[in-house]
Amino acid sequence: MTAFIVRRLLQAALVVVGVVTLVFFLIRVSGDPASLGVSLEENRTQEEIEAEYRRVQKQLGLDRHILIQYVVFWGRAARGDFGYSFRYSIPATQLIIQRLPNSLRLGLLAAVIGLAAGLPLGIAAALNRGSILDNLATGVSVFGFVVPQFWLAIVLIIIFSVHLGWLPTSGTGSWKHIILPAFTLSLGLVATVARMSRSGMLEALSQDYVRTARAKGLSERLVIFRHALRNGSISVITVVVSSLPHLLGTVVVVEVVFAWPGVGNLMAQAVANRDYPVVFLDVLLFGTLTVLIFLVMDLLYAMVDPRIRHR
Amino acid sequence: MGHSLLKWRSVAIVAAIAALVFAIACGSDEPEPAPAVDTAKLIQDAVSQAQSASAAEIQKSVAAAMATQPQGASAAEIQRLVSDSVTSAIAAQPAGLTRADVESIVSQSTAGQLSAADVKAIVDQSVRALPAPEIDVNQLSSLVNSAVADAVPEGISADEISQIVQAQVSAGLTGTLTRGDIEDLVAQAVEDAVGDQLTADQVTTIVNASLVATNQAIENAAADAAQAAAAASAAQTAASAAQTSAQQAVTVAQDAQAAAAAAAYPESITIAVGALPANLVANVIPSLQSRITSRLIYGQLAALNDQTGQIEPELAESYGFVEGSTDTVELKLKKNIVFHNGEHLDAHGLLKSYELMMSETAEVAWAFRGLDDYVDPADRIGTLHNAVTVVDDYTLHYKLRHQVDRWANAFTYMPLPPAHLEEIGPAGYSDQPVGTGPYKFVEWERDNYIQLTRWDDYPGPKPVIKDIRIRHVPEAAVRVAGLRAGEFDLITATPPENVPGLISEGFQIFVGDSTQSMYIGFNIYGRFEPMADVRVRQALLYAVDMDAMYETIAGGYGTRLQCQIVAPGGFGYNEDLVGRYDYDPEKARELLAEAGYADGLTIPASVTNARYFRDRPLMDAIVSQWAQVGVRVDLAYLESSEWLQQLINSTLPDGVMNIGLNWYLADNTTSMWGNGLADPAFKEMRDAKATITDTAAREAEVKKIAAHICDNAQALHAYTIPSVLAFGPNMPGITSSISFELKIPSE
Repeated sequence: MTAFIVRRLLQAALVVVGVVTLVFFLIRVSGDPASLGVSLEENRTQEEIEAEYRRVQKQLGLDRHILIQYVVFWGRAARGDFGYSFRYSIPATQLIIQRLPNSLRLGLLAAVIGLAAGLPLGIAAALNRGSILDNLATGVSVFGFVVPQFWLAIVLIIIFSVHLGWLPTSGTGSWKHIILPAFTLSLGLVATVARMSRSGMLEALSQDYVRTARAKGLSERLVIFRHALRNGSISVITVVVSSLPHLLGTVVVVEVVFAWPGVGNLMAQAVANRDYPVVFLDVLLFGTLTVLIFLVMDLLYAMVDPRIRHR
Repeated sequence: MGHSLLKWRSVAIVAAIAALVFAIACGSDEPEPAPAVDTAKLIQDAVSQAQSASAAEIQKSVAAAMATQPQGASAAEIQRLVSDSVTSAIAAQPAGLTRADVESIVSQSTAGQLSAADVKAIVDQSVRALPAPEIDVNQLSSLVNSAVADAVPEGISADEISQIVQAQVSAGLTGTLTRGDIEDLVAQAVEDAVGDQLTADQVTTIVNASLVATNQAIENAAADAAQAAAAASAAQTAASAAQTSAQQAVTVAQDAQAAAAAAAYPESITIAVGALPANLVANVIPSLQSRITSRLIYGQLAALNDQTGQIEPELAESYGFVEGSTDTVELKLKKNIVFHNGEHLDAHGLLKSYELMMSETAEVAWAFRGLDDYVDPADRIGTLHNAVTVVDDYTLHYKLRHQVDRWANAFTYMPLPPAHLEEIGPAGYSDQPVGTGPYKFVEWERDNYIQLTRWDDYPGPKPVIKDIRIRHVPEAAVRVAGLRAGEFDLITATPPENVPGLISEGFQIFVGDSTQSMYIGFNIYGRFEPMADVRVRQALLYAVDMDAMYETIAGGYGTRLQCQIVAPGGFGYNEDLVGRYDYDPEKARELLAEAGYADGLTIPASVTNARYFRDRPLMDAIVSQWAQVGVRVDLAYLESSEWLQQLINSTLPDGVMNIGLNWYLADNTTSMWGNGLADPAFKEMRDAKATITDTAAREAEVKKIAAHICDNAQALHAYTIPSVLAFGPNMPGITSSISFELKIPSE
């Protein structure tokens, strides 16, 4: 088991390094932060502008060969130094640490809402297959999948903030501030969880052991909760856990629209401004989180199913 | 003498009413060329010197007209209207109206539930039609009555009109309305209602505003009677004197109006902005939007004056060339400059603050643009002491590196307290910024909010609002929603399409202009050969209906440019270039055929997307109009930093039209980087201009360069980028300057 864990950890680290490497090189294709620091607004000559460009490049440490920059990046990262944000002139780690609690709060609440709403909805739909409830669950699922978060956010703001005046439009401050963003963020999760728990439940209900249980004369309640739900929930948990990284992606949109001061919002700003140190650290964080989630899932499987360990 | 004052006062009042009415009645008319502004100056001087209170009233009317105007009359338009009315009023009525006349006009208007057209008719007819030096009140009265009867035979009330219009507008309010839609709706509604060109709200506002304005003016007149005699002669002298824009009157009066209403202001407000500064170190802050914040915290040695378009001393006492020298500038500091932390600024401190800021760290990569004229950008620290020397405690000498005409730009520098700066260093400064401005820094969370509080020891006028929280809300739709929900007191960069709705809900709108000009530059000397043909470039200009784009894409806000980068009123504005390439697709086709492109051609182009105000919609519209004359565009939309990088490396596709924009900071009027600079004739003129120290001669040279660019069709000039503020009715008088500074009224 230890060998398995070590092997998976190494693989995970490799994935994270790969992702960061990819971003490290790809982001340069899309624009240069040094150019953003050069003023074009004055009556300058081409030579003056180029001189200033080179100076800014040097200040940002971008004048060296890209491979050297890459080595330096990992050398510093190994010591926990991810450099200073180009834009804010403070350590990138400090920025992320400042923002992380906000994003965690938002993500956790969204996950809780997603489970609390999605699971019962999916199970109820499966138990009442073909009923109005089932159709409703399917409707919610489809809505959750197709509706763009950006649009939903604006509509929710118009209804609950402008017209009803119940909730604030954006920002942080009170417990009320988190409701709209968390709800918006959770909708995709509700849809996934409802859909998957419905099909998981349906699958379980069609299994032989359910028929056997029924044949034994067990009460329907026992059949559902002891036999079907317990077995069906395994696939649900898989889906829920694996859709958590998806939350990380949508959190960017939701945080920007609701001006929520989290890591996602920071990431959007950093990408727009080519703030490399912040982008890299953000990617590292998101990548690590994603890989960790899958790692934990793998380890849990391995514990449950010995065959996986020895593969 | 007393009579004379009354005359001017009355003329001013009539002018205000007429302007108001006319502004609204003619809101959708084609813009006409602005007339000479001496009459505007006349109003301004007359009212401000003789009776400053009535200036406020005129302004109130003008502001009301601007606010109730869904199309948002531009300042230039209002200015023109005021000028027109005054000209005609004076021409027709040399002896002037009496107070009783005006009273009579106004009381008639309210009693009769007049439409704005009636009021206009009254003013126009009564003033123009009666040549007699004394107006007979009875005559006037009968004119009014017949005007009312003609215009509103059924005697429809303002409320009735209002209901009709509102029903119409809300019936059409199913999606996002364009300005054109609203115009159509309103026009239709009004036509149904009274066969007129006005909404009920406008009528009501006109009547109310004229009533209020006149009553107050009359009261003031009575109170001021004693000092009237002396003031009147001064007013008359001043009136005949000179030439400034009516914008001045607007600002002067706005301040007065704001001050009057000070008591009602909230103690603390929240402002929602689209972008917050990344950094609170003065001078390092690069983005325009962040000027809202930086100018509340920091004073500048000198600042761009909205009215003159020139940089003028602020913390500096004065500056100018040392007598007899053409390369050494002397700056005298005011002696009482104190920072929020109590530090005092003198010449040694200023030099020290330059030194500290110039240390070559990434944190200050963006600093010191203006100082490049003095200090070699490649060796700032090394050359600093050659360039800047302390003469005495409050005097410094700056030696220019080469002859440059824009030397005053360096004085837009925001001084920092040297001892404090030395203690915490530029990197830590962002968390403890200290300036000389009216507001002190309290705290901030990057890209989330900035909290400021009024500095009670500020030596200048004290702003009426105590605490300001500036929040970062990147989505414009969310800013508007937050304003509606009462969460924000003021929002910036309001989308033009939201303006009519916000007005109808009772919000105030301030539409400010800016010094940022949008234009499409042509790469004349690139590898794309057809672009080198002036006929092709001219065809590209003729093919575009920029007036229509200005109305639809910019919502008629900002100022339409006239074949030059400088907006009307700016330094070096060349009025001869007005209407040079009016929309004429036929002519465009002819020119293209002449140049040998009868079958059309395809031009490679790259422009930015969302770097500037509605840059992509503008380019889309232009592309579609070029297509109509057979010009296809191979268009690439680039992300901001990518576009800049290509621009700097000169790797943008040749033949390009890059959407760009430029400041015109006082003398910096002819920047055409990326295209015109490659033109040897332009270069020669630009270099020649750089050595001219005489302002008038330099302005003449700027005009010449503008004409050269226009004649050679080197760029397609669009409009200046507007600054649209929206805020609650409890904060009158808030404005923004042409360099995006927020102006809060003082107590």
